[in-house]
Amino acid sequence: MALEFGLVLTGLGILAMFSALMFIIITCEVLKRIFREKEVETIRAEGSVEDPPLERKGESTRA
Amino acid sequence: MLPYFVGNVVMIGIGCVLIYLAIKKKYEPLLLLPIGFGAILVNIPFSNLTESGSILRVIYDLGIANELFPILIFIGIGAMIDFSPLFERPWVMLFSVPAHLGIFVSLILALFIGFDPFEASSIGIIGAMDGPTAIMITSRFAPDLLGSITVCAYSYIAIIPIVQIPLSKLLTTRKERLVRMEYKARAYPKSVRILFPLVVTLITGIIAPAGVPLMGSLMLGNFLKESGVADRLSKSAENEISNVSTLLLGIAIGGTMVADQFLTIETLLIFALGIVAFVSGLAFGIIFAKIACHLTKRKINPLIGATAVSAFPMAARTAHMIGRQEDPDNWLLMHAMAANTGGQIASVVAGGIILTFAPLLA
Repeated sequence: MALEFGLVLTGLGILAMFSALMFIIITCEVLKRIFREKEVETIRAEGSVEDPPLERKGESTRA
Repeated sequence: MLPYFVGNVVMIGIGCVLIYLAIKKKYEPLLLLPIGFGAILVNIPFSNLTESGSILRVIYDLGIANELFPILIFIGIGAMIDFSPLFERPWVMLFSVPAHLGIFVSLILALFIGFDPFEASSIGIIGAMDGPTAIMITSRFAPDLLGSITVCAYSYIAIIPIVQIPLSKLLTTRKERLVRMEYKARAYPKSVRILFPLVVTLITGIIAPAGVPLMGSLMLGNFLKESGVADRLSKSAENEISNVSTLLLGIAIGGTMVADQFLTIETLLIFALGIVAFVSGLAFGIIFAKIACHLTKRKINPLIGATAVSAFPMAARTAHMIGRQEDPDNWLLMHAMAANTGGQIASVVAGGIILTFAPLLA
């Protein structure tokens, strides 16, 4: 009876732990994908307003 | 059993050893110091500090019997943790599953020896290498074993490098220890950092509802920090609340180390089972990472398998140090930190699973 308790708890424990961690990993990846893109867009939007008009990307200011 | 005064003298000696380890060896001083002092106080003959209404009993009833102190400490730990390395490579959390198998190895051994299912579950959780989780489960399942299990858990957490270094070298080849892992540091959006604690609490709460107080408090601390609008609360959780709870928890645990309850064969068995839990957990973690190393054609250093536990940040630092001994330019720290913070989450998940399923199965 006691051993049965140990084995069942071990099986359930491993299964539940694996499931919980897998869900967390997947959620983490999903959150990263969703919010990274939005963050990039926000930065670009802010950047386009604040960029000085004479300094464009790829152009040297020395010229 | 030892005669009354002899037992007290032995326990005062044990209290002094804990204080020595805390001061001289710097082994978990924040906890071993008050635990050692509490053990001395409670074993002074005729001090009667465990009787109803006495100060140690009041502190015990205030925060251990109702599980308040571990919860407050978890809020503080949550406020201290930075999950950014884990966001970079969340898959390292999978190493935590084998690294926590030590829980079940020692649980089954404890059942074999003759401990009842609740005592065995409390002994097994030593393998989570997480003090507050061990205290919470033991205070609910086997309060008589609280002193032995807590001292065992914290003593072994304090000496983790002594176990981890030889075990890592024994189970890995030099070639494997030299594996370098690519690291890209990124700043993750605030939205991810705010949503992560909420999502983790929801997921683990659905799978193991009885673990909600543990995970909820850990993630509440992190949520306060990452929200960026509750700095006062976050700093209080990290400092004042955490410090006061740790002090009171330590004294109360020391107060449970009464000679006639602590100096028993059971305590020796708990210490033996505790080391089995630690060694087997670390070994399974390394072996799993070793398999992953070969499957990914040497993209994973097996040393980080031993860091997927809750002993934060000592396990990560130790793995990094072993790697640098072989190659001074090999920086494993951030990978090890990722696995270690994942291990912190996993140990709480394991605690929640035991709290949920053990009463259903026993």
